Amino acid sequence: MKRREFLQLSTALLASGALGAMRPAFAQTTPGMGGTIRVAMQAQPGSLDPHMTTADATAQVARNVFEQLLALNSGYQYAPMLAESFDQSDDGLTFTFHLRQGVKFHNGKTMTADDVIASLEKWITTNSKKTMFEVHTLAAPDDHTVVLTMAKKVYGVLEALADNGQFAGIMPKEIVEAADATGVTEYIGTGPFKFAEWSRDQFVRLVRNDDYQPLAGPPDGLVGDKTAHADELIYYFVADPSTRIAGIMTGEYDVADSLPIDYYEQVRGNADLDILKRSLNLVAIYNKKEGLLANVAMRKAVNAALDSEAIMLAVQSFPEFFRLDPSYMYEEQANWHSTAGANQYSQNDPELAKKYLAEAGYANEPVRILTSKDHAHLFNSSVVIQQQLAAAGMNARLDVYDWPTTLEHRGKSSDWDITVTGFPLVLAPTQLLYLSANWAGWTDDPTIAKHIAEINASTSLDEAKAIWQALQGYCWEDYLPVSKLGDRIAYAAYSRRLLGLASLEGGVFWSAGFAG
Amino acid sequence: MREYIIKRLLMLIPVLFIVSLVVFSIIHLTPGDPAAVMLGETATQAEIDALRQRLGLDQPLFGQYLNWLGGLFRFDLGYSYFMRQPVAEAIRDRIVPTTSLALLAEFFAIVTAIPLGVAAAVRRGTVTDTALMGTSLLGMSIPSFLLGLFLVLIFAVWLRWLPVAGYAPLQAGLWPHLRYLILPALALGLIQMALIARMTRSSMLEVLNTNYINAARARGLREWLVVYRHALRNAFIPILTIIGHSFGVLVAGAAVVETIFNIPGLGQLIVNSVGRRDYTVIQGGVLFITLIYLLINLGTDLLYGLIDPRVRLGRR
Repeated sequence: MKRREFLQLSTALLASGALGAMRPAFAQTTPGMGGTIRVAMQAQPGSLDPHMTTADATAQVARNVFEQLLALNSGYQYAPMLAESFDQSDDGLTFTFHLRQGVKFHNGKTMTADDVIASLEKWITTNSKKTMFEVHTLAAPDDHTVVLTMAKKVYGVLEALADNGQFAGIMPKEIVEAADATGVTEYIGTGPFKFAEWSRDQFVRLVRNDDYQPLAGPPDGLVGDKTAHADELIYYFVADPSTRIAGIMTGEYDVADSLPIDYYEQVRGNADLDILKRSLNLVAIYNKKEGLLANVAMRKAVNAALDSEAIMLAVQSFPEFFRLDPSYMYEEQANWHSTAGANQYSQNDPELAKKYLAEAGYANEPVRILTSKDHAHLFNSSVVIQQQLAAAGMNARLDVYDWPTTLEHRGKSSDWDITVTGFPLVLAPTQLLYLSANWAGWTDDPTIAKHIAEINASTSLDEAKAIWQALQGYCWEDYLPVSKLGDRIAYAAYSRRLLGLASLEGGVFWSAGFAG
Repeated sequence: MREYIIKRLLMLIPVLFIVSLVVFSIIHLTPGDPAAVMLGETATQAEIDALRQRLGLDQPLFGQYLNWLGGLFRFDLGYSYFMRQPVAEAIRDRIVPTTSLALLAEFFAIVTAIPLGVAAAVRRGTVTDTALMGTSLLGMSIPSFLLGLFLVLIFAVWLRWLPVAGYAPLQAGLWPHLRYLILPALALGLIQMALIARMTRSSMLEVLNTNYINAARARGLREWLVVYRHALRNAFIPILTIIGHSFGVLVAGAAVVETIFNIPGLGQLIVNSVGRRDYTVIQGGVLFITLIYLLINLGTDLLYGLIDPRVRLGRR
């Protein structure tokens, strides 16, 4: 295919993909085997153990090395990966997973049910969805079957096992047993790439797993045939965005991740580069435990004053890089996307805000917005919010710290009223952290708890969906645990020499390679 | 002389002790929790507290300090959970890039600064002098990151002569190792050059006006001998002081330049560790740099004795 046709086709693909930013895009030519893919990442993962942290950098790198029982396909639905099939009992409490046979770990060991159980137990102990699994049993009736029994019916067990963030990667039992308080000390999985080397603050180097046993069928999101093409996949940690972009323009890197919006013009003007898009939401959390915003009238006042378009424009600069969407779940998640309560979204109504302030008996106390300059999108949105609240008659104040200090303050209910943050994708709304009483914001409302319990007890997706619609409506109209601001569309630039690059919550590199 | 050296080395101990107390206090009293950073945004307070306990961070501060100090006596700088490495190993891995970078930068600086400073002194008051000192002022004023980015733009992006960023260890060969260090060394070195050139000029000016220099010229010695062998040597003490200081600055952390050029050096290590609140690495790193600084000072003092026979160290 000629270069011009390729450019036209990929532009068309990009344009059509602009709204469905998370739908994976495929280039049209097939890559050959060999070569080294060099990815410039912004941040070094703290750990390569996927059980230990929700950090995106960890999931990005680790998902090449480890696989799960179930994983996400291109439609964001769970599909078989290491489990070739699974059943759920009629009462919804027992899940039986039939493992694929003869799958080998990178150290040559064959995967059995014992390895799966050890890995899942470790994952359950450390992951943020663990309250779901509080009371459970895992058993192996034979070497290739794992049975998970829950004490009570909870929605989203399969989604949790398939989730991409802090994912339930399967490791050999011996490696799991040798892990310490901060995770495993060796990275052995079943994935298309093997861990080779981690040079701290420099790079992580992965090499192709030549003994990889793929699933049948074409590559499909994070399932399907994941046979790797490149000989090596190297993630470089390049903190400075100007270095990442200079590197990709001079051909030193093939992919430059997390580029700031300021560089988009440069990338757009460069015919050798293309972009991958990824949606990330932006949410303003309210402190409902202590302080001014524990009063719902104050929260309504703040929400009424917000103009989401102005906020998102300040953060993202170009309209094609954000979406105004009141839905708590992403647009791409057809099962859960909802516009319930949309009339409360982005009202931009200072007069209404003042009315609520009067109702709340507001006496010009400071409204403390906690933020950090270490993340431009959080800081910029907080600055605009402060302005909007001030225009509505509130004594809004920005408390700016570095990231670790911000995290520390965020854990204390005495220290802040509003803070903006972004969230990783969750596969079921019951997993939304800001609806939990244990997380910053301290949402503790009986109606919300009741709806979540009903979703957990539901017997069909349609039933759960209807309950969720009602719950989102209640959140926007009555309780306001948070104000969703919008969806940011982040982008990564990649060289057009890299063929077959797909994306799903980040670049998917096993299907990618260079011209043969 | 030997007594002098031993005495100086013994004096390191109280200095290091005070530094250890200060850095430990500052970093532990600063808000920000390494456990929270390690577990990420979505961790609950209960999870963070559990990790704090596992890492021993909930112990009383003085107890933690004594633990760490005890480790120091055994040359054990502690363990970094972020890097999954003993701190001593982490520092050791980063000494070579930082030292190479510092040496190369200092080399560029000295090789350009001294001739320029001498030329400015000898041609004092002329256009050359003004131009050279103007350039030096520019060099001192420009921030290292700006200079670094300009160098990248010109030499790496436009001309493609040198790589944008990265690092190759010595094992990969001397030229590959140096190739990645040239631009960052220039970014650092040009700034140091400015300082050294100015000091060279002032020091030379003082010496060039002395009687013995006039006498040397009167004896008919060639000018370059007068300037380089006689004047420069006499002028060298203050220049050496500046060079020693500048080398210390370079080793201590060209953190910004290391970040831009992605060189895994000490500066970048410490800055990253502060951002993560990796206590043991920050403490160990700062202590190590203090030691290096003190040793460089000692080395500079010993060199005075070599250059100027009138300086006799340790004698009354």
